[in-house]
Amino acid sequence: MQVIDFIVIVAVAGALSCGGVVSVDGPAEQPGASAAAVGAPAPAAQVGSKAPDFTLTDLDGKSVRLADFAGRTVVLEWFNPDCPFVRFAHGETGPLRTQPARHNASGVVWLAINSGAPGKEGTGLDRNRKAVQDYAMGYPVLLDESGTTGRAYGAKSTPHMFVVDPQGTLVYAGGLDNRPLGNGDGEATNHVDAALSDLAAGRPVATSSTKSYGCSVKYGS
Amino acid sequence: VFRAGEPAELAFAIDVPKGWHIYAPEPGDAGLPTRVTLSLPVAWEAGPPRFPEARRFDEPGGIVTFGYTGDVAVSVPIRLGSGSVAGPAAVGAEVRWLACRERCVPGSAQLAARVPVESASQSAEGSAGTPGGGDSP
Repeated sequence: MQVIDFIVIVAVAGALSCGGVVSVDGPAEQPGASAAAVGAPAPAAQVGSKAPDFTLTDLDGKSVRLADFAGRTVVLEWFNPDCPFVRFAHGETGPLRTQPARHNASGVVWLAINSGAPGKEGTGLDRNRKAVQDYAMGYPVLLDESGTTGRAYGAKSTPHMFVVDPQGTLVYAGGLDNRPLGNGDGEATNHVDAALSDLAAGRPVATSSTKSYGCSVKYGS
Repeated sequence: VFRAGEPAELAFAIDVPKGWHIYAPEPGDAGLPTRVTLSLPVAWEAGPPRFPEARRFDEPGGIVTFGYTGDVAVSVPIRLGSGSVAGPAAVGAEVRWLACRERCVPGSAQLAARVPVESASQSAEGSAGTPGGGDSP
């Protein structure tokens, strides 16, 4: 049998020399580690159930509580400004450059939540303040350094998206769209837009759960 | 020499740097599936890519993903249909991946080769002559 053979080299060296990276030598991966070694995962919020309430602090030190938005639709966007998926989505041509403002104008609340533990990628006040400027974000970034809120929602990746309806019920959990980094097959669908359209029209959310994609949320252990 | 009607294979090894991993077609809670998109001559057909057995990665927060480290051997079965055109043929593939350690870096590679193709009748006649341009990659 004839074989066409190639070698593909994964280049990460350039990325390592990017500014702001203090160390990449930590124990990043634990292949073969058992689930017990990282603790049994707490039961996370389920679509159709009440969205877990939280009180988190924004980058100006102001407290933000989910329950304060009762009666309004709330979108939660798990955030890490240095994750390439987040960078793409917030880039000049990315969906998150314009989508939140469009929905804010219809009364939807949009909150970004960073559940990275201190010292991990994309964490800290300064880094996130700069990201808000760079990405022209007109909505709050809430810091969840303990990861409590992220775990309560079962947020696994950035961007992992959740939609809470005006009654406080979690009605969507999953990916932002079917175009990670702008790539994908079939018709392009923004799942959050679709869920918000359903809510606005008084319909049940047709696609209430999709597979999220992106970088893992950088929880502390 | 590639002949119409015969199976062939596109194979590549993805060399992942130490400490990093890329993701399986079913990556689990995070990551991005490693994708192979082929660009094949007329009448060539491809089967699904074959990946090695995935390893499991556990991260804080109960995040479980599946992927590969080290040299990742991927092969794509291809078959030259009876309508394959004899002569030099351009075979291409784009490979996309997400490499992660404590951080993630997306990447892609374009693979391209020109291979000699004999028609089924040529091979049946035992023709030794093959068209030029068959540089091996």
